[in-house]
Amino acid sequence: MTAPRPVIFEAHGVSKNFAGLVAVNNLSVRLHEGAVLGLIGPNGSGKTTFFNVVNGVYKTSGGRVVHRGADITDWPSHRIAGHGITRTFQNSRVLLNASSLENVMVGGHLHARAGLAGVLFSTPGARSREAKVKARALEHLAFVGLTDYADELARNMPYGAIKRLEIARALQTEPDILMLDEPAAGLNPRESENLMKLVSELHRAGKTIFIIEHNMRVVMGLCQRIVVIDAGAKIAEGEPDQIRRDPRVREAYLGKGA
Amino acid sequence: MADFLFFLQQITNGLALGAVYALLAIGFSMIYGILRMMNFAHGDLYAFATIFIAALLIDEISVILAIPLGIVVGTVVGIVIERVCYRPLRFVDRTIAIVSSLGAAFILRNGSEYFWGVHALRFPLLLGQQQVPIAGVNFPVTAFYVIAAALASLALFGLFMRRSKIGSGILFVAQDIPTSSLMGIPINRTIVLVYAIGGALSVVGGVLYGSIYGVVFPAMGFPGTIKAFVAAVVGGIGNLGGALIAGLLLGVIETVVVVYGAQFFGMPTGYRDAAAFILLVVFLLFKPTGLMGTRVSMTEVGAIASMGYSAVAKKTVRLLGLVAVPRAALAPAAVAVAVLLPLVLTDQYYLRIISIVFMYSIAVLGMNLVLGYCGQFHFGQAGFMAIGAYTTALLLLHTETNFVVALLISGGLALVAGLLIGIPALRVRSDYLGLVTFAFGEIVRLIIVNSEFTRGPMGLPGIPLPELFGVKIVTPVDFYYYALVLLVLAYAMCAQVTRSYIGRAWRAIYEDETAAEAMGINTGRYKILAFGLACFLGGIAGAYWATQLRIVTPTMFELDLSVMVIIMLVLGGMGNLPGSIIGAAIMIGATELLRPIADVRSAFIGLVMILVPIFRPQGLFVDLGPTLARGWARIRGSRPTGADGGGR
Amino acid sequence: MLKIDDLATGYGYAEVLHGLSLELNEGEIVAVVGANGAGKSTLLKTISGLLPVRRGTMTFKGESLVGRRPEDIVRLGIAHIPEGRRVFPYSTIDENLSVGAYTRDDRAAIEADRDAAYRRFPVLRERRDRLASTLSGGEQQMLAVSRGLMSRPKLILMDEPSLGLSPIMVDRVFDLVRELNAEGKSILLVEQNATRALAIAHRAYVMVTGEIALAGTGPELLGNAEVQRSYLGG
Repeated sequence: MTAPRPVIFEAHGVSKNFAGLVAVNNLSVRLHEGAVLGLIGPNGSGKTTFFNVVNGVYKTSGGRVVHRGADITDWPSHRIAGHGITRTFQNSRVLLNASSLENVMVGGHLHARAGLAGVLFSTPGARSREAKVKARALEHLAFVGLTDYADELARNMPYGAIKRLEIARALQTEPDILMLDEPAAGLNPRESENLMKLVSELHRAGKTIFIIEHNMRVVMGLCQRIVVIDAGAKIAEGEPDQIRRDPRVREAYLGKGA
Repeated sequence: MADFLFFLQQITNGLALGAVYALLAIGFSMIYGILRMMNFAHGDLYAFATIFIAALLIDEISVILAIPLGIVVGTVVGIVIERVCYRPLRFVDRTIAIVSSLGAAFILRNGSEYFWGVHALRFPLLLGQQQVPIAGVNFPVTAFYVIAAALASLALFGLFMRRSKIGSGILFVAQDIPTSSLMGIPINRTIVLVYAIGGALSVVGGVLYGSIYGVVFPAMGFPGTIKAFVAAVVGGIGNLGGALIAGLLLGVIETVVVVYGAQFFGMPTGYRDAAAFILLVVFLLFKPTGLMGTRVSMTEVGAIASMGYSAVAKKTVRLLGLVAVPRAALAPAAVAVAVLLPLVLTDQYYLRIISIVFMYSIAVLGMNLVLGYCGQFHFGQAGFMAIGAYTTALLLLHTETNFVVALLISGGLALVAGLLIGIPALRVRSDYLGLVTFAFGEIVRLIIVNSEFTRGPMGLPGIPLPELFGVKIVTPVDFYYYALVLLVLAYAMCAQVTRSYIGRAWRAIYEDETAAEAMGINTGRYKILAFGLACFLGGIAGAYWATQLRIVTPTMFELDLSVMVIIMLVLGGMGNLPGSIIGAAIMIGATELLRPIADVRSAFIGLVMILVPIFRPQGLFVDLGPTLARGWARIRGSRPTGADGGGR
Repeated sequence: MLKIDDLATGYGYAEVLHGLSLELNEGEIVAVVGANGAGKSTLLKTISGLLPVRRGTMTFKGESLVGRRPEDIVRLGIAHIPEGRRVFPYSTIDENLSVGAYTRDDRAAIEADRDAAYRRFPVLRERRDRLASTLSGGEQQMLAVSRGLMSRPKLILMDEPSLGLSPIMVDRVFDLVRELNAEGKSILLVEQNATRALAIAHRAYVMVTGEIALAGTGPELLGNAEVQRSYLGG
């Protein structure tokens, strides 16, 4: 293991209630630079809700979220993305009617902004930004292995490719932290394995990754640390081996007496 | 004391009118609440069936027979609307379903005009006209009868919902469609029932309306829809009790505002509808969930579910040929043809028509940005065209302003007006932008009709011919080129913007707002930008129109104009810029060609509005761009690169 | 009683079940266990007609279920108790029970069944006129099960009945499954809580990413290391 790197993201006692129903309960999570942190837990335990709260889709009911010294609690999503945290979605929310390349370029929004005047008069500045975004998008497509699909509409692509496309789009925002919500959900075993290879490549490339994943084989192989939640609250945290042996985790997953 | 009694009398009258609104609103609210569908044919259904009853009564058919027959007609029409306009489109984009319901509204309106004439029909005062004098003020007993009749039919409806099996199904379907089907409730039949009951209740409302005012007329339909919409939103969508109370409240407020506004401020009674709209806008800003709160899935938890649903719905059916292929060679060729056209086509009649097509195209291009690219509801382009037209007319008539400056001021004012209503409306919810823009278009028209400086219904004639550097624009050929220049500029603007990062942001918002936000797109800002540009182009189009016709009148800017612009957009294909021009050309062409059958023209147009969404929800010409691009690529012997074709 | 062969289905572009086969005999409790995301709920939704079948066959008592609407499937005698209870929040408990009998017309018998439900769960009787949204999670589960029984099903599909319940309620739910089975109902039970589900099931299937990975009797699978691995990896 490498020397400990600085903590760049911290959620302090984050809670989220829906009409009295507690979905996330006083959850604290720290993320070190360059680490892969897994978030696991049974169905309905509040994992995606936690992602949504951290990303500004929902307002918090309590607690604070800090990223690189800035308190980003309850910022709107787009501002959080601008601050360097981006995500993928469980049900792959790409633009089905746009090409792969365009999809990835959407992720380059913050880097393409040239103002209305720049766009209308096609200023050199605007054009060079656009060209840079496009070049970068092609790089990201190549990285996830979708170069051949660049001109293909997303709706015509296999689901496995769409999952990769979403990751390429997220990378295009040049994030500091990449949050992946079940990247392997809905994939067949082979696609799922390939996707996980991609995630470990990202890790080797130095990205900080926060991942929700059901496939335990994958999570155990990928993450240095794992946080386990049940009913919205943390029940365990540690290295994969610790987690696998942890009786509370077994109980949460398999039921009492396992 | 007399003042107070007078006030009470107004309240009573208001409640009677409100009872009618309540009957309309309940049906509207049920449909909106359960299906998230805005049924814009609701008011025309009520007008159609009520006029049908009036016609039967005039033919001396007994009331006992006529009213039930009318209710049957209303029910059947409701069922047909569900079957033809909604069921095929249930999982299609909601904008498309709105167009189709507007189509049904056109057919109903045209139908009643065709069968029974455009003018008001006498309706017997079925509930009498008794008044009881109390302390010098006459109390209208009829009003009490009206309220009682409305409440009785609502009680009957309530009983049906509670006691009958199929009626009770509605209550469950409204809460949770999949679980309802697990209970064995037939979903399709229940939804048909909702439309049928909505239709029947609205006809009862129509009969009561006729009994209060003694006349019914085809034009009562659209205001009926708007009142139903307003009451449904204020009452909390899907909340039927709320709709009842909001309907009554709306009637009272309208009556009080009109009576006291006239008495104290000399306000023309024409502002009746504007009062309701302004109330609505204010209301939405402060209590967007409605008076009584929304019962159906408006909590955050419900929103999650509906988010999932709309994502699926949006993704399953595609409207647009989003591949904005630049057709680099095509655009100059089209412009060249357009420039050379007057050399070949010398008939001034055609040149005038084509200039009008260009004018419409500009307005439609604007709508395309906001509806077709960004997916935000904007239904009131007529209002912004009116602002542009009247601004130019007034500037050219009363000042020495150059027409180019006037044009820019016109577009600018339309933009400012758009921002003023768009920013608060979009802050609340995208759906409300549709409602607010609809209302705004009507308010602008009402202000024009009722103001001195616009000379009311007479309009402003004799607008001077535009002049640039000493050259006057006089002949139809001159105007043709003037319109062409404007269109080319507008098109170039739209093309630049839509293929830039801004266009990408809009499309991302259209397909998935949450994902767009996660990519760093400030969705609020880009929605406003799309809407603002649309208003600007509307203003420009209106300004041009004023100079070509040399007269502006309020009748040019009726609701039909807004609807027309939407139809052009949908016909040509949303998110498809050349389609906007083609759509405008088809509609104007059809209007001209259909002149010989003018009395059924709008029914015909309505039919097109229903059929196109069913068979080609993506628009008639959506594949045109890509097909041409593929052909061009084959000629060049290469594949087109990138979706935006190299971004030139 | 229920026979599924080579079933494939999914949502939109994603295929979730890729050729799944399964059988349930009359009078059995059959458990389907597996990590989340394996497609267990999708399986139940396909059986009850909420999702269309893309490939394969599905018969109940010899009659094909493919292409039937949910309301027809209820009439055939299959009740689906959905994940997360899904009681109608703005209806009273009484109304929730009544809607469960939507496909029936025998008023007296419906009344009797409702009484039976209240005898089974007296706490529901106490609150019969309250809105279902006021019930606790466990009580909502009781209501959802009772509502499902109101259609007099022969086969009950239960989707994660123990999800989100307190340990005491979890015990109660599994007792209830046994009790219903003893009353002659066949049950297809989808559960994450594998230990408990396997303990009461006659037979069970382990699902992994849309396919059946293992099948056997409950006790057999209970001790099987493969089952644990399918959950915890390794």
